[in-house]
Amino acid sequence: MTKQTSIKVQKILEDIYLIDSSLKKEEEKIKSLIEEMIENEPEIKLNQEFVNRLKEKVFTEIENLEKKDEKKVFFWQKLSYVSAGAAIVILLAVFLFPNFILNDFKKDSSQKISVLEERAFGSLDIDLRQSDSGEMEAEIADDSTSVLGLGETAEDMPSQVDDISIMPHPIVEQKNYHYVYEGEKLEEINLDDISNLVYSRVSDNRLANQGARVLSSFSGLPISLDNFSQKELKHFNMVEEKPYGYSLSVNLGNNTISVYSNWQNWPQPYKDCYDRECLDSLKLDRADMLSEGQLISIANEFIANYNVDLKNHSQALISEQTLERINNPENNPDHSYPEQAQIVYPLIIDDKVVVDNNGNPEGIKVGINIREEMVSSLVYNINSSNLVSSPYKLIDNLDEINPLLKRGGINPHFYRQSENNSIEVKLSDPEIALVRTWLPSLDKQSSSEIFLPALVFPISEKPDQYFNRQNIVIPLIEEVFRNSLKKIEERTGNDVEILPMPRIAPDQEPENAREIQKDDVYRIMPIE
Amino acid sequence: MKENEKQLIILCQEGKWENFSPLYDFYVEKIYKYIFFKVKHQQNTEDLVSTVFLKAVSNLKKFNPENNYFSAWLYKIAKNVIADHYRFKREESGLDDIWGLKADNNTEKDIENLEKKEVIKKALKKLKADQREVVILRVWHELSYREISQIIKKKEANAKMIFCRAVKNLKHEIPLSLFIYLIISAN
Repeated sequence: MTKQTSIKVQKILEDIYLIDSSLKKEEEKIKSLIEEMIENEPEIKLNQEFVNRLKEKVFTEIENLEKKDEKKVFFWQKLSYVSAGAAIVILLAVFLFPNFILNDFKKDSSQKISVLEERAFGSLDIDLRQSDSGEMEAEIADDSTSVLGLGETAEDMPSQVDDISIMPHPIVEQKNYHYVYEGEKLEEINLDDISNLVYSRVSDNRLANQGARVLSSFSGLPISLDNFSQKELKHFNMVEEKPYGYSLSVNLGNNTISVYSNWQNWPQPYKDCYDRECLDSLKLDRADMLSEGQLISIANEFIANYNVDLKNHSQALISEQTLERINNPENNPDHSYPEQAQIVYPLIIDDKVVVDNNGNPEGIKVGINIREEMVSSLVYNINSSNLVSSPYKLIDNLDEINPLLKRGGINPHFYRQSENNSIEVKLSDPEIALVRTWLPSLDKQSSSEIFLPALVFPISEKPDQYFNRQNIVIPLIEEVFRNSLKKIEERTGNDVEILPMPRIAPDQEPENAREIQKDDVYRIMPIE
Repeated sequence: MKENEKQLIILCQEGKWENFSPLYDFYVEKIYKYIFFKVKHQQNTEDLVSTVFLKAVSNLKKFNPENNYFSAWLYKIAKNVIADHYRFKREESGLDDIWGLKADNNTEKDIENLEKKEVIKKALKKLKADQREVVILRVWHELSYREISQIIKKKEANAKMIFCRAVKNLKHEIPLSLFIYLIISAN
């Protein structure tokens, strides 16, 4: 015990004795109690980044308060300046904001990760399937709409097409996928070597504060923005009004910058097509496809031209889906070559790549219009460098992952069990990654982005052409793992993976599904 | 800090806001700990701490430093902000999961610390809310009874009385075996 603590304890004791001197008889016990309390004060670590950010915000507020005191603003007085004022605001938005955003962002783009106390983000009661943007829904959607035969959804089909008929669709048999690990590295992985840190992006409203400040400083408006307090500029848009121009959307609420083609100024090849013949004649073919090198080079050139900061991101990768669509167009919904390609510059946190819940890399996403050979979209998270982390308990043993692994990880296939149709899917050696997901706030009104340690098992061999999964993701944080397993077991039972769903299938399955005649009788299979 | 606090506040009130910086630096960690202890969630804590300091600067000119402690005023704002938070969320605050162990590898020490912390946590949980508040402010935040009295809106003598009763209760709540453990481990 330090001298300071001793003095503190003595002072507390003296105060108590003044009130109740009888307690002096139990001095030993009370003294120990207070000493232990002092020494076992909960350790709460403060994030220095937050302290600095808040200080800046507080002084911005002070500045606003001072201005408010100084000025006597008359509302609605300058009504005649509405148009001029608005125009200047737009100019400010266009010329000032990108500047300050870029400067501010570049100033601290190196990754800073503070470590907070254990479980600082509260309970991780997450259903990782919730943010499942992909496969499960895609499979169901494909099934439900594929009766059209061309694989396109009803919305995709031009209404003028007059020869739509019920056309055969390859019969997707009820399959039961079993995932089998066939690698060698898993046994070598030691859980003690895996970091138990969960990361979260720090919500940073400095830019939003500064944006509001710049706008407030302008006095030509018919309303005084100064008189509004604790204000933040949440988002703004600007567009390039020129051929092949872009539309830029900056959202300071969720810290993203999105660039999209300003579609009105881009060619729309299908706009005058009203029948299938026309659509087919304009489709891209093999010769139009760009090589991997060309795609990467287009993306890199755009990144360089617009000074997009690649710190904390690794080299460009072509998404697996894009490669699949280019290399195997016969598996695409409409059997045609893709118009768009997606390139990802994966986000790296603490030397680990960030993936989505399907195990695909997450980061700066660049879309390429293959027809025009130009970048058509880019989504960038401004706040990739400012993170906090907190230790959470990992699972105890890697053997525990088996029940989840054999079901296909956090996003299982929900095909019916069929004894004759059990198909093995082979998995190769896993990589340690961080899976990105969203943690709802206590009131469920908002959510924060978090990154959880996970094992990503690549699928080494696809069982058939309809199987479009590339990876299996197994979360390693104990409570997230248990929650995922529990939710999947609740839906599928312990051993059998069954999710009954209505399916449309012909009465008799022909050997070659493509040869079904359009007068085949279809029936709805019962829900079991 | 507390000696020249009054002077700093008067200067801020005169518009020399640069004097708010040392006040912020001194109190931000204390307020953060006070709030985190109650809401147990980093993002919510940061939001609430931000609210406390923004409210503080917005209302500082109304604060009378002659008869009041700035610390007490700031904690009172924090207390109200937390109350609003829970009123809106309709949730109970608790004490679980506050004592995270240090990330060292000394397992034996960890277990020992954990045991001690469990004892204190359980005992604190059994106290009445006002007793718990006074104990925490007095022992961990090192506030004087006068400051505490302003936060809990009671007289100084009452604050002392509450603390005294809390200590008596804590004394009874700790079983003899654990008490002996505390004595032994303290020596």
